[in-house]
Amino acid sequence: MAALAVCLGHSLGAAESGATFSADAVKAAYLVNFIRFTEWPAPSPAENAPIIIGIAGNRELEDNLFKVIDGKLLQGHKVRVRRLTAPPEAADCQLIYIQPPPRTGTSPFSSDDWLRAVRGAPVITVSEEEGFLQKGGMINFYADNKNLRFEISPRAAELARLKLSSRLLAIARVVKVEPPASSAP
Amino acid sequence: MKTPARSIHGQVLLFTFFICLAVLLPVGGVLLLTHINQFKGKLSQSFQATSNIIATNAAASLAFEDKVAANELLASLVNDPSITAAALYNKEGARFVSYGDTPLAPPDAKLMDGFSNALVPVTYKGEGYGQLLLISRYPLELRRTITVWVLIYAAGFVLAAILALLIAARFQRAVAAPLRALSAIAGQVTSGKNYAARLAPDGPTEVAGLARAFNTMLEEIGRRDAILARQLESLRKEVREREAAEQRLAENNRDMMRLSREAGMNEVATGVLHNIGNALNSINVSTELVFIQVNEHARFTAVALRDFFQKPPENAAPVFAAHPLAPELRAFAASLAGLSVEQVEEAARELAALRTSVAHLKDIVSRQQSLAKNVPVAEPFDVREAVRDALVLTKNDCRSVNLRVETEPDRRIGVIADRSSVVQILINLITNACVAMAGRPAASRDLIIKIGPPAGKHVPVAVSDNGCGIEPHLLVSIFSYGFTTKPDGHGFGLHNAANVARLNGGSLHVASEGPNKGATFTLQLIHQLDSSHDA
Repeated sequence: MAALAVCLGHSLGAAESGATFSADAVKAAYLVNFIRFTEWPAPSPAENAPIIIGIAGNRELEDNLFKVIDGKLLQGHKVRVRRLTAPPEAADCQLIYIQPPPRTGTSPFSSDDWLRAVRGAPVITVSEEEGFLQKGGMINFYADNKNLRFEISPRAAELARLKLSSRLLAIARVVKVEPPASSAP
Repeated sequence: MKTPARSIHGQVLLFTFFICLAVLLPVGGVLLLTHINQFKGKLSQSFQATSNIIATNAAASLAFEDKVAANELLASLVNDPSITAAALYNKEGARFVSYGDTPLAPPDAKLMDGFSNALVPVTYKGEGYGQLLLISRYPLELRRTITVWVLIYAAGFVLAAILALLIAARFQRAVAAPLRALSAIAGQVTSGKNYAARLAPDGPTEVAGLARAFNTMLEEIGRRDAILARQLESLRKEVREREAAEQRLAENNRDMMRLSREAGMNEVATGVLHNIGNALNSINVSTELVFIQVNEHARFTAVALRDFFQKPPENAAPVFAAHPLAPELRAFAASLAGLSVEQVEEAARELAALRTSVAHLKDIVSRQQSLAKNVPVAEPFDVREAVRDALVLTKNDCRSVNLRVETEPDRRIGVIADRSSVVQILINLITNACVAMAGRPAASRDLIIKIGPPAGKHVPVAVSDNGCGIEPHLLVSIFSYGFTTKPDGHGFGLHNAANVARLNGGSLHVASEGPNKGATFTLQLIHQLDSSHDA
């Protein structure tokens, strides 16, 4: 994992060799890679518009991301890391990470709320919550033998008009679920 | 450098093999190269495709450091047995996952050939995530393929060689074997002159035709050889005859030279004889005159004078009676006259003898002149005359021997030869006979000349004596040039006599019963058969 972080750091020009990386650092690197292996429907993101990564409820992850990617160019767009406090803020983002409880602390918004806020919008939704995909989420982290893995719902991506790279799907656990229709905003 | 001769079989074998080789080698080489290039291209293409697919699919694994996915990806290569090893390296050059035996760090890209190994960048949307190393067993497969093809071509060569052998063997049966038979027959013909040998006219049409033509040629050669042999024998005979003729010619030349010398001598002799003849004529005339003078006049005078004094005429008696010395004077005068008559008669007798001798001398000179002047020309003549001439010329030699000539006195015995030559031969034989008998008392020297009778085409003239005879072993060489038993001889007489006899178409032979038993020389001359010359 450290190697991955170093790899990301190197690739983004923010070397932090020798540092100890947390699980959040790794997740940060994953989030960047999710963006790399995803194609947005034109015109999103608009030319010269930044790619915005929204983090809801995880300050360490936000910090890590901010350190390694904020202000850097990714696929020709400048990357911005934004802390999300309420679901409506997620609509401008290209990717949102929804921290599940209990780390969210006192936040009044559940993952359903965040998902409802971006339903039908070309936004990658990432979380680390049991049943996230069943709720309509797109990518969900899970631990597999102490390794961080992720599962993907192609249907959710399809509904969001996002095209996930087959390479991404190749390394992910693909879960075929139908998002709840009644949960439309 | 001259190459050693090869058999047809060998040449056909070599030729066929080289043709097969010449066709197979370039074709096989081109096919092999084409196949290798195609195979290599195909493998390269396949290798490239595999590399690209793996690299493309490895991007996410590297991006998310998903070793499981990466391992699964590389494990999928197990379906491609031509890939022996593979490895994914991250951006830092550390080996991420590997399959098979691979280095820890990616090797230098410059060392990659894209065939046995390839180092491909793992990218996605222009973003690099690491490198993929693939190692193939393509070189090994290529070597195997080349080996298989080379073996196939080698088998092709072997087949070509077998084919060449079969063709050569077939050709051997069809052509070389008949040619060997032909060669063997030709050998028999060359070494053994066996023109009866024949080739069996079987085999292919051309060979059978050749055999028939060869047989015909042999027949022709045999025929011509026989003709040549006959011609050769004829030529040899001709050469022998020519050699004999040349020998005869040489002998003739020698004879001619001898004759020329003799002719010169003859000329001298003729001159001498001529002068002697002239002198003899004068002597003869004087002798005749003296003879007449003495016989006629002196004798008459002496007789008249004697008669006058012995029986004086009557009218002269008174003269003799008147003188006192008349009776003595008359008696003296009578005896003187008588003496004169005797002397005159004696002189007359001597003169007669002289005249006979001079006439004989004249005859000898005349005959010698006629012999000397004679050119050797074959002519018909009576051999008895030749014997007579010879005897005249050897009269002095024959004076002290008992000569007997046996012949038919009234019958001409005609021969054809050079008369003077025959006379010379006879003189030689008669003289020799007289010499041979010199040791005997004069009364017992018998010289017998037997003429004829003619026997067949020849007439023999045999001169026999009862002299010293001849040793049997000398009979062989008695006619050789230089042979003589006489102390003052030259060994030329008999040799020349025999040659002259042969030149005249005759021969000269000798017979003797041994020492002191005499000898007989027989001269054979060509008989003149024409009866018109016979008396």
